[in-house]
Amino acid sequence: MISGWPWILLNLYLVISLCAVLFDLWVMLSANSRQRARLRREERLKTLLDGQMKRLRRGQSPDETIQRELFQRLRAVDGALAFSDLIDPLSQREEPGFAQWVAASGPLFVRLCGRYGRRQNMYRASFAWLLACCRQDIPAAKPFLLSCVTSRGSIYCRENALTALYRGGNAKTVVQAFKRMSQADIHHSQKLLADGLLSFRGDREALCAHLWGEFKSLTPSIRLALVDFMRLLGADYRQDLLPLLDNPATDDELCFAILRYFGRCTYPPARERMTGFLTHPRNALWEYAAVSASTLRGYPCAQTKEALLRALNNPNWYVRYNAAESLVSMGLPEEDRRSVLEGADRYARDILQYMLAREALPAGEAAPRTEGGVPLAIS
Amino acid sequence: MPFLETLTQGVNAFFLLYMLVYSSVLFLSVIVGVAQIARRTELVQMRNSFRHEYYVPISIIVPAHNEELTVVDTVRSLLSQNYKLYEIIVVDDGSTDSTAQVLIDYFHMEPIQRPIRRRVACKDPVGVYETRSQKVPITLIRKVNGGKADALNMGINASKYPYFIAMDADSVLDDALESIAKCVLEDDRTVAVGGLVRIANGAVLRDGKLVSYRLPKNLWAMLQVMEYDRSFLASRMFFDLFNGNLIISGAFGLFKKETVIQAGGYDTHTLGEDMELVVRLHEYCRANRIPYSIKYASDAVCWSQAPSKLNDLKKQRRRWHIGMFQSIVKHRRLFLNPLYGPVGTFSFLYYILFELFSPLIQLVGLAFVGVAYYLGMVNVPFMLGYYLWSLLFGAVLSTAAFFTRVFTYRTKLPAWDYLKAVVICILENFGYRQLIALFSLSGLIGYRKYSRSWGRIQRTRFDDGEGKEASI
Repeated sequence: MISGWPWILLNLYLVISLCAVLFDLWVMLSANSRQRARLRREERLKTLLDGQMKRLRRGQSPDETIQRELFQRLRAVDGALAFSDLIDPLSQREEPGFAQWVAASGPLFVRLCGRYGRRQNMYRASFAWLLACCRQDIPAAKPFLLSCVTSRGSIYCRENALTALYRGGNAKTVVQAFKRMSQADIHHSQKLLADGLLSFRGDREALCAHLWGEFKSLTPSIRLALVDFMRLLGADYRQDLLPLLDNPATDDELCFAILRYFGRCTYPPARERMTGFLTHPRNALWEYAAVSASTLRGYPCAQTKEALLRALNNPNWYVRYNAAESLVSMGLPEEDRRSVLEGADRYARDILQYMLAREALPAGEAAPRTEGGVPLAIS
Repeated sequence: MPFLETLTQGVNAFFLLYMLVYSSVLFLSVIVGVAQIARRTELVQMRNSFRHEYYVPISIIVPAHNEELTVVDTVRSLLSQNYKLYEIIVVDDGSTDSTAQVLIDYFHMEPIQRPIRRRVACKDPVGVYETRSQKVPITLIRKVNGGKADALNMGINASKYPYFIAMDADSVLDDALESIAKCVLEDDRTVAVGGLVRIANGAVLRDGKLVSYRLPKNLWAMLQVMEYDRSFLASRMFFDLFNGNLIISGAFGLFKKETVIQAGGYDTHTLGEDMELVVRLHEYCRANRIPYSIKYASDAVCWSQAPSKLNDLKKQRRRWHIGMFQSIVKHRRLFLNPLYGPVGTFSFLYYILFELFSPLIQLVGLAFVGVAYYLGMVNVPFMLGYYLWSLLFGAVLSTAAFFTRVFTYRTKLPAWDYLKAVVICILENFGYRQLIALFSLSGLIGYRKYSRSWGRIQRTRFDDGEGKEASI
């Protein structure tokens, strides 16, 4: 009925597509047995770890046979992820037996690092996550983690390795990781870096100081993250950062981060720079005026108020918006409000009126229930 | 009669070639899709094991026109998202029902004089309402009717965060914000991300999470489930491999605001504003040599209502086809243009041949067979073989797509639904596909008449499962 090479080809398609259906069916039908296998695996891992922890609490060394079995199980990624789930609560509540087991398992981690170090990024990321769940400095894993942070293909590989380092609490290793990333010119989200640094389990001030010592050797995005970290930490680097703001060679993005830093960590000389930027932004970039209009709210005084009131007439929308927001948050006296609201500049009037109305909106009232409500369904 | 014989042979050869190419592309995309899904499932499992807080600030824009039945549920579902930093902006595009009022009442919103900076063109606002009494700020903007694209542009103008999500007022997100935001953090060249749109008919959700799922009872909705699954595998997954996706559904997509503004925002003169924007982003980024990527997040799920009445389905498909036609005509310079990479040389060609002209080719083919049969010039065994094969192939691919989706999302279905799905996969070849082709074609025929409207369809309120219906 049907012949010729096109039909042979089409029928081949049909057969392969049928195989795809059979593959799907097999995956679906085997889902339950895989689920049972996973539960058994988790149970076995728990038994093994509990056994080792008991031995360590009794002052004995870990059983080598069990360590070997743990290696066999953890070298599979499913085992590693199940183990991560198992140890995460133990390390969170700082279970002493668990910390001892991690400390005594250097050789096991070395073998596993060697094994995962040769695998694809997501597998490496999975093992790095297991190390992060230990929440402990594991010297044996340091080379593996440092190699992960310079991985280009996967954000997860880098972020999990960095998380393991932050949680390990060793400032020198974190600095080493950042330097490696800079040398390899690795781009990693600035926000993730800043948030990650804040989660560092060791002495964050010391970490900040170490990183500042290496500031010049870091990439622009890591520098930005470091300044954000300083700001969120409230660390005192005011005298160090101000010269950077005055230096014409400093990158604009870094200047914005420094301005935001001075918004939180107030420093009178910085206020002068900010009010200056409102009228004469550096490099004629409006962003300097906009950021300054926002950060000046940290310096409530008559001069700041005057500068911000003038900024309400700025031709740039963001400068007006931030100036109005700052004025309202600083508490603008009635007399000044009136002068703007009855003034000739419609844009200044509109934006200030909006900020005042927004400030007056009731906040935090009992909201309609959005959790645990009736299910949403349609037939 | 030699002319007719030559014509018959010519048409036979054309259809054989067309089917061969189409089947090859479809086959390739479904098989690649199944393989990709299997791989991604493992990757997503690994990724989900890493408990990080990945987030970028997001403005969610919900354009609404006469959505009084669903808009409160939609906003409630958005409030239940487990995400750190976002705002909700509902843009009421000149509704004639109580869309704005139900929101104002339910969320205790207050009128406010808010200046809105117009970075992309849109019609004037009539009133702005805000509330700060909820988990995240909610803004309602009432504006002069200007269409969905115009409402989205207004939302972009009012948004304060660097990324925005455009979604429909009748859709519910399955706690999808983090999944869609991950794409941006994974690759900072990302300018747009499409989510997976699934048909809500038959799904039960609590606090934005799927509680149970079964195939919808309504036949039209059930047929669309199969169709969505097929297109998910056949186009989205495959085209994603080479950054060649031309469509991010208007029901759920994330965009980088600055790039969208630079590209000119949504086009208010196009009916398919979602496709048009994505094609324009490709064009804009390639023309300006901006490194970019348009991604597809298969684990970011949005539940959207499918039309359950034939007339609504007709309206929807007409709109979609007109939208596609307008986008393709407007950006015709991409067609086979190597400057635009695989988007111009493959994606565009695919959409023209197998989406835009497909209804026409199908119907011309059917008409030709009728005429040829009347003239006694049909090779009956060939024709039967052709139809039998098409039917079988279509059914097998649909079944593969459906089962792939079921296993990927670990959806538990009642046993009866599996059988029902297979039957539907076969049945859709008997009339449904032809009907859809007819609807799509009617859009092009009545282009002038249908090309400027919101396209009202009958909504069903998300409720406690009783399926209460109301007409809008």
